[in-house]
Amino acid sequence: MRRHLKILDFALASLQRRPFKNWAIIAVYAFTVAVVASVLFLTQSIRREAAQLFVGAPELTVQRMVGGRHVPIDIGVGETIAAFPSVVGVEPRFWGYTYDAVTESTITIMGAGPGMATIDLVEGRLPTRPTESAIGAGVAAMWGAEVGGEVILVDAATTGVLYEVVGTFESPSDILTNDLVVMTAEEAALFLGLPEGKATDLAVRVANDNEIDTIAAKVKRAFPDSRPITRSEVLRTYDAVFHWRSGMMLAVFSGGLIAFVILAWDKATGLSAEERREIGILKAVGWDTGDVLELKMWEGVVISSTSLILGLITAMVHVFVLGAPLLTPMLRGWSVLFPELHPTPHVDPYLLFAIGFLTVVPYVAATVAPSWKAAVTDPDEVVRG
Amino acid sequence: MTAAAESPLVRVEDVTKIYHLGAPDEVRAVRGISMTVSRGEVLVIEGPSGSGKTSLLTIIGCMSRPTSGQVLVGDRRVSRLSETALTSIRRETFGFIFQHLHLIPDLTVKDNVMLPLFPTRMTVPEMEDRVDRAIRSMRIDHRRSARAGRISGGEQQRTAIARALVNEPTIVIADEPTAHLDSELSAELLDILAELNRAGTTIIFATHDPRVIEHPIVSRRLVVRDGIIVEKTSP
Amino acid sequence: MILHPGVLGLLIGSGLVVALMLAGAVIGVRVLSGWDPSSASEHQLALERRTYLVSVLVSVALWIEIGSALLFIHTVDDLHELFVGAMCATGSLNANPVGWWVLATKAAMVLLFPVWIALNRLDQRAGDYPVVRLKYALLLALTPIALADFVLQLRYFRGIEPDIITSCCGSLFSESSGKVTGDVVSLPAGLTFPTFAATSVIFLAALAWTLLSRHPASKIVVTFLSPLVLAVGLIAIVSFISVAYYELPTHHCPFDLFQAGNLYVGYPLVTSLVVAVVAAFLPGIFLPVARRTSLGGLITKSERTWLTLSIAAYSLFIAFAAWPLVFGNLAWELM
Ligand SMILES: Nc1ncnc2c1ncn2[C@@H]1O[C@H](COP(=O)(O)OP(=O)(O)OP(=O)(O)O)[C@@H](O)[C@H]1O
Ligand SMILES: [Mg+2]
Repeated sequence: MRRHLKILDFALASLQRRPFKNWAIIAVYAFTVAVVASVLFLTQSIRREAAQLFVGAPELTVQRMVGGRHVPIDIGVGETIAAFPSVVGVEPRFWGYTYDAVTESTITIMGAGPGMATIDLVEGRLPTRPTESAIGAGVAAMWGAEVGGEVILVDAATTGVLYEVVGTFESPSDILTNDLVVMTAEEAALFLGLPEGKATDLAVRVANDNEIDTIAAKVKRAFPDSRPITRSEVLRTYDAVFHWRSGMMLAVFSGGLIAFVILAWDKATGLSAEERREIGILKAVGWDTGDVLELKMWEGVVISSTSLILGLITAMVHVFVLGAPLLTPMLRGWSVLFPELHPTPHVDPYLLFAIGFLTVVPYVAATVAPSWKAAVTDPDEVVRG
Repeated sequence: MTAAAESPLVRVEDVTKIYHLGAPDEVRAVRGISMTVSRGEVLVIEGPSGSGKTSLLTIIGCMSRPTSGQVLVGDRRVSRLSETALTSIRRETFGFIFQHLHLIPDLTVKDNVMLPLFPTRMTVPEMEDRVDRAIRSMRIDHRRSARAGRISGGEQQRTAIARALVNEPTIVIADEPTAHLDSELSAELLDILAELNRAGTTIIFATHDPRVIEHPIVSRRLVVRDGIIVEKTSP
Repeated sequence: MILHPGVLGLLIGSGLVVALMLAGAVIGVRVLSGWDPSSASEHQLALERRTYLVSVLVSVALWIEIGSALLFIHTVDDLHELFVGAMCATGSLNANPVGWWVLATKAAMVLLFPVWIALNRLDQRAGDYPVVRLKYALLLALTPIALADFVLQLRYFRGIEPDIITSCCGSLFSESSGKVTGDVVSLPAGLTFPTFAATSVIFLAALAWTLLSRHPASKIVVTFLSPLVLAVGLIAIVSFISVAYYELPTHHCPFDLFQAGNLYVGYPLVTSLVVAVVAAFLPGIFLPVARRTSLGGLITKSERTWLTLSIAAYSLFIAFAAWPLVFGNLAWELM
């Protein structure tokens, strides 16, 4: 043990003697860590925010499918479902999208309903009259509208409709409300051009979580053209999508990772004449190959842990303080009106471990052979000078 | 102390050293040498350049292994030992003073002297203690924190000797230690080694420098030519 | 296949371990065919130098593998959200039962690599490479495990698709399932607990006896006991130690011990058990080589370390196992 610590001590000293070379490696290494960590921190916090979406979501959503497409459903269906045992309530929902040509963005229209309860208004109230609306932060910013102002939206009949803004949203999740405009349920149905007696879908509340699957099956049996979606199914899909996204991004960056490994290899192989001489001296004064290997291993440990810490700090600042400005362009496309990210700082030990594993393991593997090459220098080569 | 009654420290039996054995550029540096090293003696191995002195010294000093033949250190057969085992014997028994000193110029005098002690089980205070003693005995304590690259030639030489002594070896091996020294420094070096020898350390020189060969402390001479011993003298 | 950062890390890790082990195996084959300790030819010297490369390759492979085993458990746990009915790592493993084999290959490597490294260290220090052939034969035997691990892991991750309805710890680690693990659980704690206690006492006694007497027979006993101790220890973890930690009589999923909710107690628990078992495994297997070769003295010295280490580690394991039984609320109702 003592011997190992002494060699560590020597490794630290010898790293300090070559500050330029070692800081150069650390800089590149830390950058690689920062890229990997940024991707993972960002996708994880989006996942967490998305999960927030579903806190108040109905246990079961029932849609109607025709020709594999989602079409408006009869509100009457909801009354049948409401009669099933364990079903606490059924709420028709009216929502959809409208495209705003001026700002070139898609806006979500939603009828006010019980689901709104989990969303906090930052200012004002929910609409109660057909001419009123409450808008999300992104929409508000686009129009420069605030409570008391107005927005003009283009409805299903392509007529511009003017709404008075009576509230703006703040939600734990920006994604939820950013591109949102809420109006009264009746007005939303009208605006979206839904036929009389139809809703976009039905939100079904179930008292007992264990019953959700049973009720979903019952709904399907009673209405073969319906598609019941459970909350956990949606969650899983989201999860899969986000894992996939982060995996994709990592795959994209793996090119960088490989470049980094090549650099590590090169730096480790390209021992300067001076270093080679030094190792020869160590061997001549009584270090054996194993000792020199251990020295090299400690150097790797010190470089890796320094880079890991620096890289993680950089990534945290990038994602949690600056809002990941360098990565959001890659995430755009899933929503034109992509919310400004203010991810809540949260770091999962598992994630840190995964990041460490993804970056340190290739580095270590790349330096094995060069370290060995350096360590087997013959001491008597040095004796001859 | 009767040298004859005591078994030799090192015994070399019919040793050869061939570099690149089996390859076209094969070099026969040592071609069948038998000799012993006894406790307390000062042995000089002399011979012209390329005669195999360094090769022989590295074999005696457990720094390399002979191609054939036997080497015994104490009663331990070391000729075919693995590098790890060989190195650990070397660390316990031998101290080396190299022709080119081989100090690490960026390290301080103290750290240079400490180098051989890192891969041992010694505690840090013990190490410091050893280094202190070695540095003081070489009278370079005033330069202990100076970088080895920034001290005078004489001080560098003392640092190298201190490093050779820090593991308290029974045998000190010096390969052409005076080759790059003026007469003053050579004399000083020989005085230091003479003192060491009086304290009981066995010393082996490889050299063709008459200043060493004719020094009064030398107790025995072996003349090597083309990898074999051609002359043995004990004055 | 699921593109998940943990999965990516695991595939890269296992791929590199395979690369390292294959490089080691190539050198191993050369050593086995061309090793001649009496020669000082360039060839032999080059081989001797390469043995150091092999030591590093295997050590690095071991460290990656330890990390990989941990990452695997946590990744599989993280993935359970993707499967209906999966409530913990067990559910994700059942989603594609190949996963259990991946776990087995990883465990095998974590258990066997240290044995190789111990053998290697002795061989290097002994001086005349007394067990070099044995060492490299063993290395060639270890390489396929690394390969199997890589292939099985790839198959596992390729085979799981989100949304597969799977059984979870609820059914696997519950008494009605026909699987082995179910059988383990259906063993009443009234049976597993005394077995565990008895095995522990015997094991510790055998270790102490070996440490004091150094009798060859005792070393063999300890070596043969150690896999048994491992098995009983794992059964104990599933059967009642995990239950005592969770304070839920029906929850047997051992993987939850590795989660923050249980203060990661699985780590010290399993690490101490593994260290104790591996260290106790060594003295007996070195018996034949100790008699034959120059290793004798070295082995005697190392044995003291191994045995002491094993006793210390096993005591620690007992302490962690007993903690919830002594201080928990649920313990004695189980018996
Ligand atoms: N590593 C090596 N590879 C090949 N040939 C070598 C090697 N080392 C030494 N030789 C050769 O072996 C012979 C003996 O060398 P050695 O260094 O032992 O001689 P020396 O007596 O110490 O010479 P000098 O007085 O010049 O130091 C020389 O011909 C030399 O070129
Ligand atoms: Mg020479």
